[in-house]
Amino acid sequence: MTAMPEILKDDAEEIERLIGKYPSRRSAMLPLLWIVQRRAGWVSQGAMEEVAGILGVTVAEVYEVVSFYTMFQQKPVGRFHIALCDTLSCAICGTHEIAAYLAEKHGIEMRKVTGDGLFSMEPVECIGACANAPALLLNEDLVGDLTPAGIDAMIEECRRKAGATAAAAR
Amino acid sequence: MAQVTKGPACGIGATIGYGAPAGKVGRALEGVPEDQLFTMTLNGREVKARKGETIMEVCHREDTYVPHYCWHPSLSIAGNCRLCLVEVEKVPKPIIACQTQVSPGMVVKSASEQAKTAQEWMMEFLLVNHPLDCPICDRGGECQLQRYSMEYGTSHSRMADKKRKYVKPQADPLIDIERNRCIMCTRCVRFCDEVGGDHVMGVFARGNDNYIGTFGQGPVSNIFSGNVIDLCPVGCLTSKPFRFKARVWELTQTQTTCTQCSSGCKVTSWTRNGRLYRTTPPSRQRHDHFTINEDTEEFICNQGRFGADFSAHDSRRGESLVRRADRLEPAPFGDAVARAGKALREVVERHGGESVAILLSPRATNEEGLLARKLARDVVGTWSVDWRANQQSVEAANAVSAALRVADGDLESEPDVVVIVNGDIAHQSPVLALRIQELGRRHLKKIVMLGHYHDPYLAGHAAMSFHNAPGRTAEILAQLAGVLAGEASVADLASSLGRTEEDVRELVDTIKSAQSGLLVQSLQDFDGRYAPAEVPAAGALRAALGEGWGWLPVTGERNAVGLNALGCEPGEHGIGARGLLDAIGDGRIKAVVAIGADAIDPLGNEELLAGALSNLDAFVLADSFDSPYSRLATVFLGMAGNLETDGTAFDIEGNIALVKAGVDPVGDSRQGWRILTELGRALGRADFGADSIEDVWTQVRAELAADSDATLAALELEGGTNAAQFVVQRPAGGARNRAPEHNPGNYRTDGLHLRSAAFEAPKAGTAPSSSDPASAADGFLLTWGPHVSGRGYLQNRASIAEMLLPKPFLEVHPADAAAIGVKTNQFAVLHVNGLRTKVGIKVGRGPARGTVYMSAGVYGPFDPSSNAGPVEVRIEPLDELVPDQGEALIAAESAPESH
Repeated sequence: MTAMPEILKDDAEEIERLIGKYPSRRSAMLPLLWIVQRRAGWVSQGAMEEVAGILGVTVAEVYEVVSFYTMFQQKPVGRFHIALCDTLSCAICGTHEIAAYLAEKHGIEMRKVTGDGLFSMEPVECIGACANAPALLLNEDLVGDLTPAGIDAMIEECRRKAGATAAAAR
Repeated sequence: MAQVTKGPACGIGATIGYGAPAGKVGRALEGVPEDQLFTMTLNGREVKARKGETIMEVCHREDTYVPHYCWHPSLSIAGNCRLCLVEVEKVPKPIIACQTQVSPGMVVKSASEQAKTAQEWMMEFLLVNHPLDCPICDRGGECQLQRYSMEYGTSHSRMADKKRKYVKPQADPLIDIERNRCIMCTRCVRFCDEVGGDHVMGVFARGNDNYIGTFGQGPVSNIFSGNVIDLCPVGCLTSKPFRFKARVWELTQTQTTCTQCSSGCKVTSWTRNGRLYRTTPPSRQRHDHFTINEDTEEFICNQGRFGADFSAHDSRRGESLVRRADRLEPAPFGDAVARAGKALREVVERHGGESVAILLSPRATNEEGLLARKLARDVVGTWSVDWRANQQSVEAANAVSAALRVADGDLESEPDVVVIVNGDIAHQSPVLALRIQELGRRHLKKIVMLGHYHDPYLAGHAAMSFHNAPGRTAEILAQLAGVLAGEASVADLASSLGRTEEDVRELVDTIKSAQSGLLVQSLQDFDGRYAPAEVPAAGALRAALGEGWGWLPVTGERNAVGLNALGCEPGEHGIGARGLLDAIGDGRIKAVVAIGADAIDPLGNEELLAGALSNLDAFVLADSFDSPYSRLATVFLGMAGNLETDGTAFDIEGNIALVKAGVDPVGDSRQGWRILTELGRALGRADFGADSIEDVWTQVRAELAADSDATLAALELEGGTNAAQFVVQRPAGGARNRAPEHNPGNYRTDGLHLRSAAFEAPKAGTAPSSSDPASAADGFLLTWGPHVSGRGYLQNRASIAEMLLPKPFLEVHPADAAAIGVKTNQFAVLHVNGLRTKVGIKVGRGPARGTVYMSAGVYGPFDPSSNAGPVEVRIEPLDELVPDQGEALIAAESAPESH
């Protein structure tokens, strides 16, 4: 363990702005954790220590918050994380069929990360999109009225984005 | 716009009550203004209550027990166990007593049918996930859950589903966590956050899955952490050292006083078959037995709780030894004491009484102190009797004595302002610091910090803090006294402190506007190096503060106040502990009597001491252990250990308390007072000493409180409270034979209390030593102070000494840390005295800028106290993190500097 985690090193200005919005520093914990999750995809122990250092609280206090909210990932997830709604409306309208389709066709299994590190999936409670059931969250975006064709298009789009990034990196 | 008032937090969001500070629980209503009072009805009885109190507080005062788990008088209100549900007229549903404020005319029924049913149902809910493993649970027999099940619960459960189960973590070396038994009262979490000073424990996850623990399974890293064991109302947090050792009802409880530091906490020793099993805060009577008090406000530190069993160490020696032809041979106590008397008599006859020195451990009781002084002055005829081996020099020891003699302050009076000068108070006298913290946290008194080091435990509660360079404190105190007396300007003080005039004016106004105040001064930084200058300066400041103020000099030494008051000091004519080695060297001292080897252990390293002691004609050592010193003794007298001794001792605030033996002395060993009595008689004074501890106490009482007739039994603790009031007046003057100039001061002592009545500033000490570097040109000044769990003659002998040893850290000021680029938990190389030492860094606000701080006696390879004062160091950051919170934070390597 040698590297100092510095996930938030480029966000100093934004962090100060966020902290300034609240009467006490520790109130900015949730927004800071969101920044961490956007940067790294998940909230590591190192990230929690970093947030604790910035806010002047103990790591235990940060971990209380991280572990309270299921939306914060405590393990690495794929670049595209699918949060599939498993509550009543979506379940009736075909969540389980969608999950089976994702696993069979695209190899994306529940609570697992695909070998290429692109995708991961977890079941979540109601995401408030019952009118568009079955629905999922792709990272922070809502995708509703899911059909096999829609899923294919969504996955295709993700792969295209990933390819473009890889090409740009080259 | 309407003014927003902050009420107590309520509802689901308030499961952890950060908001509401705990009130003044159970306080009598005397002195409360009439317009703050009103009447209400409690269980059909009309009672008085104060505006803002909760139902629970009123019940507490009125001796009406309402069952509760999460509520604790010292902690903030959480309101999450819901067990204290009571019926209130005109409220449709039962409401919780701990969080509901009373109002005029309120009618509360704590034991009505509705309340009882609600409590019964809550018990059923709390037991939903609780395993039925009482037969193997360490809490069995003193469990609040067990008790409430019987008193308030039902005999059956309707829970049909499987119980929740957790994997057992191995978080703390001292505290065992069994989460399955937890009922989520969060007392431990709030204790660590509010009293322990660090939010290291937390409630993790959510809903049915939530659990308590520490981050990354780290330890509960504060010196008060053991209290969560008592606070836990169920078997979730239990003591690892005590686990599975005994059932509590098999143990004998002794109400006594901790013998480890000057806080002098009341404790209960739990013993069986001559062995100490555990130490807890005072137990309390419940029905026909005494049991642990989970609502206690008398918290104790980990050293007192876990580190009191050194009497059971392998090196414990019960028998006495006598030197015959260069060999130490076991001898009956009577023979050994006769031999010691003969040896001492020979020295006195040949070289005179003045060639004998009698040294006492600072842990000696008043009774041992009195007899040792009498033995020296009345029997042997020497001035040389001393308890102050821990001070760095004769001047430092004299300064400490001068300060203790005139000290006139305590915390009982709840001063409005507490000014703290220097020092890691929490690591010298932990519970004193805890009580200062409570003044700030619960009673909203102002804490002001001055000096070169600010106790990090208290700094979080400080209203103001002003740092200065080490060695400059005396100057600052003198200037502050000058400003208060109108003789010096605020501008000068501001420039000395490096702060704005506005800041300093606020400090002066705070002090001036206070009705009452307390000046707390640490005497032990650098083993008292600057005490000769700082004590007179603090005394002058105390004099300038005037009426309503008090002065409380702090040393961690157990019975410093008592031994000082009884005159166990050499004065100007005798040779003190610090002059002993020189005096042996030039032949002025030919014989030494040491009561406890820790009376001489701090004087030098073993080699140096062995060299000196072997030059003596007679060395009589009364001690409990086999040690390098016992092997040098002419006569070794087996002395009872800390748990085997009766007597009295004062705490640093001047309160007297009973020290009571929990077990019989090991083997043939005797209590200290009896050894001294026998020694006196062996020296030819048949009337010396006494035949019972009660008789010695009578002699002590005659000196300290001539008019009192309190017996030792009257000082005995019953259920954690003093049974009788003991009024001490001024000490009788003429009792100190051959000590005409020993003047213990004009003591006034009210109710178990010893404090100077008329304050008189001590005279300036000789050789004030503030010529040290105030700042290091290149790098930092390493400062240090003592630690209650640091290595020491007795501390090393506790069975879990290594576990109690604090994690060694180098504390760096945040601004300095940023400048050199180090962070908490990062390793760095400390260049000191031509050595390179790898240390873990902690960023904290304790040290002044330009200085770094380390506790002494904590880190084996390098001890800062090997330096006489602050020493210049360089810090070189390493790109390496301290591996784990649970591991030693400094790698055990220390290498010479390479070039």
